[in-house]
Parts: sequence; structure tokens; C-alpha cells
Amino acid sequence: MGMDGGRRAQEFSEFVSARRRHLRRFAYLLCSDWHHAEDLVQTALTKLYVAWPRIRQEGTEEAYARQTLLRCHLDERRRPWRRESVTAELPESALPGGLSFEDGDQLRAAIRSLPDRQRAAVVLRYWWGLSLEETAQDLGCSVGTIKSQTSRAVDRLRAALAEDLRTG
Amino acid sequence: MNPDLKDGDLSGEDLSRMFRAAADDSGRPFQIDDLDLLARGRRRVRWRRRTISAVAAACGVGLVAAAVYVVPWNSPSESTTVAAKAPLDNPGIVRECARMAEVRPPDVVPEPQTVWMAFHHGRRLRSPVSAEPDTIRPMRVRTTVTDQSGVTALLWDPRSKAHVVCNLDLLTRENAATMLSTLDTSPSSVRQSELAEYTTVDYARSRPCRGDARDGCAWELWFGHGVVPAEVTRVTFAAAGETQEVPIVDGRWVLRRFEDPAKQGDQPQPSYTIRMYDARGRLVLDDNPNNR
Repeated sequence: MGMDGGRRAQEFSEFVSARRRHLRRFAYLLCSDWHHAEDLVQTALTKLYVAWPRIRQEGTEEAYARQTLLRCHLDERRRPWRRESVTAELPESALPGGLSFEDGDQLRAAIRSLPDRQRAAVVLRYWWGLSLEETAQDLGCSVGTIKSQTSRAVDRLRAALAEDLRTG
Repeated sequence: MNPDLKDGDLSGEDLSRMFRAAADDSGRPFQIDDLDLLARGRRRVRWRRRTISAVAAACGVGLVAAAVYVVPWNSPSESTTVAAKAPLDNPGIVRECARMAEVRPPDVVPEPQTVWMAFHHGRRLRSPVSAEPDTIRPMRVRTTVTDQSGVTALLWDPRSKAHVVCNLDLLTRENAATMLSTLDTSPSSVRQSELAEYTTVDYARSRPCRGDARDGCAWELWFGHGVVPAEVTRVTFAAAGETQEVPIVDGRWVLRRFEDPAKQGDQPQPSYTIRMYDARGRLVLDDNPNNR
């Protein structure tokens, strides 16, 4: 069944207003760059608009947006001109939860140091709160792979933060 | 400093909190404009529709081209025309055409697979059957399923006056299907470029008619193939100075009260004339001794 343009635009705008910030944070955790995160969100939401009638009917808007964003990021990272890694970044803002600028910078640096898929796995698991199965589905791999990638990611984060603790 | 990190351990809760902290975007305005996003989305929808239309059109062309291999069984008199390459005037074509008859039908009512096999042989028509591939010229093939018993392939070269009719009768209970093929010169009235729109006329079934021989039923059809630009509604048969109107029964021309040619022994083939007319009374085929 088709969906008229006005209704589609209205429903889509409501979803965007409600979830765009969350999606942008997710994109930032994946790519560690706010501007690029906005680009990713825009691309994912444009694709979401195209598929809107179908996914609205299925009630999978959020999952579709998340998966599209994730794939956009991983696809872009595969391209040679996107393989550069940002090594220095000015602190963005004060962080909540009693963490200082330095701590926030350390956190970002630690997250940024993770390989793409490990980072995606750990972000999906611990920030988005997905189960192992859901994470595996999003990343198109087995649950075992997610377990190992998550474990390695946590080890690397632990090591990076411990190093910061020692040097700090 | 996050106290949970002091012992070097990271729980899921720690990670969650870390990520929330790292991705905090308080005070950072959202740069994406809603209207711009909608405009992008609509553009993409339009582009997608255009792409789907183009792909659908391309697939349609592909299906038509592929249909020669999967003959539509349930729709009588369906025709398919495809471009093909083979030297039409090479006798090898007729040989290849005849190979279609080597497929033995599994039963009275043939299965689609049988026809596919038949046209698998027919497909070789499009391969170079000549030892001189350089002489290959573009050829057209049109297959026609007249009913569930017969398949006809008309092959012609738009740049020459020759055409080939291959007729495969799958209802025959013989060891092989009846196969008739002739290499004909198209009449001057036949425009080769429009041959795809012509109807293949098969009046070459040398099969005993299903009627009672005591009624004079000798042969259902007579010799010959032809192509006509319109549906034949009237057929006349003239032999020995006598012209008969050939009745059309279920789309077949049943010639009655004509002496069995086999009884003529060493007599030369009788001179006969077959004329076919369309609904407007126009002569669409004139098969007479002068143009044989």
C-alpha cells in the first residue's frame, strides 16, 4: 500500500526530530569526527526516507537507521581516501559525570584507537545496548566474532586508559 | 577520573558511561536542516523510481529475448522474434533445423522441457554452422506455438529473399517428432523487413487425416510452407482443372476427396495450385507450379 507524500514527510520529520541527536552521537562514536558524523547521519536519514513506507509498516525505523548509518560508515572506511586517521583533536566541551577535559580526550583517543569493526561492535553492545545476536546481525558476522571483537576492544580500551593513567 | 578505571577493569556499565561521556554533544547545534533532508529524500525517491523503470524496461527486453528458449505453452499462436546470427543460405541451417526433430516427445502431450530441448537444438542455429564464420549475417528467428502440438520456427535474413520454416510436431507418436523444413525464396510481395509480422503457414503435414478414409479423407494438409501477411480465412486448392474450396476446421485446412499421391506410383507429382486469401479477400499466398 502506498503512502502519500505529506504523511510520509510528517512521520519522517517526527522520527528525525526525536532520534537525530542519538544517531549523531552514535555516528560520532563510530567516526570520532562531529562533522563527518553529521554527514553520516544525513546520508543514513536520506536512505531512510526512501524506504520509509516499508520500514514504517514493519516498525523497524530505528534499527534501519542504525544499520544504514553503520554500513555507510564501514563502507566509507573501506575507501582508500578515508583511511587517514585523525591524531589530534581539540577538546570539544566539558564532559558530564565529573570527568575533566583531559579524561574526555583520553576516552576519545582510546575509542579512536580501536579498529573500525571492533569499535562498532563495542559501541553497539555497550552504548546502544544491543544483544550479541543483534550486534552480529548489524555487523553481518557471527556471534562468536562479536564476542572476540568485543573482548579485544575492551582489552585495548583498558590498556589505552591504563597507559593514560600511568602517564597522567 | 572515572573511579571504576582505577583497578584496570572495565565493566559494561563503565563502557556505557564512557561512551555517553565521549559522545556528549551538549550545546552542539544540529547542522542538518529538516527541509533539506526532506528535499534530499524526495530527490532520491524520484531517482530510484526512474532507475527502477529503466531496469524494468531493460529486463523486459531481456525476457523477450530469452523467451525463445521457454516457449509459452498455454497461449496458442504466440510468437517470439529474436535477433540471431547464422548464414541463412547455408544448407547447414536446414540440417540443424531438422535436428529439432530428433527430440522424441515423452508423451502425446509434450512437456515444456521437451520444447526447450527442441529449441536447444534450434539454438544452435544461431551458432556458426558454417565453416566460414565470416559469412555470418544477421538472421531473425521467430518461434510460434500454434497449439500444444506444434512449434514452428521461421528464420529469415532481412537482407535477402530467403527464409526457412522449421516445423516441429510434438504430437506425433513416432520415434521422433515430425520435422519439416524448407529453404524458400520469399515472394516479391513479401517484405523481409516486416517478416516478423507475417504468419507462418504450414500446409505440409503429410499426416493421414483423422477422418474416415472411406469419406475420402486422405491427407489433412498438403505440401508446402509459406508466410502470409494476414490471417488466412479462405483457401482454395486447384488440381487437374478443378478448384476446390478447402474447409478450415479448427484452424486446419482439411483437404478432402483428393486422391492419395502415394497411389500415383511413378506418376509425377500432380500439378496443383494453392491460393490463400485473407478476410478482405486479398490473395496473400499463391503457391502454383510457376513459382515453385
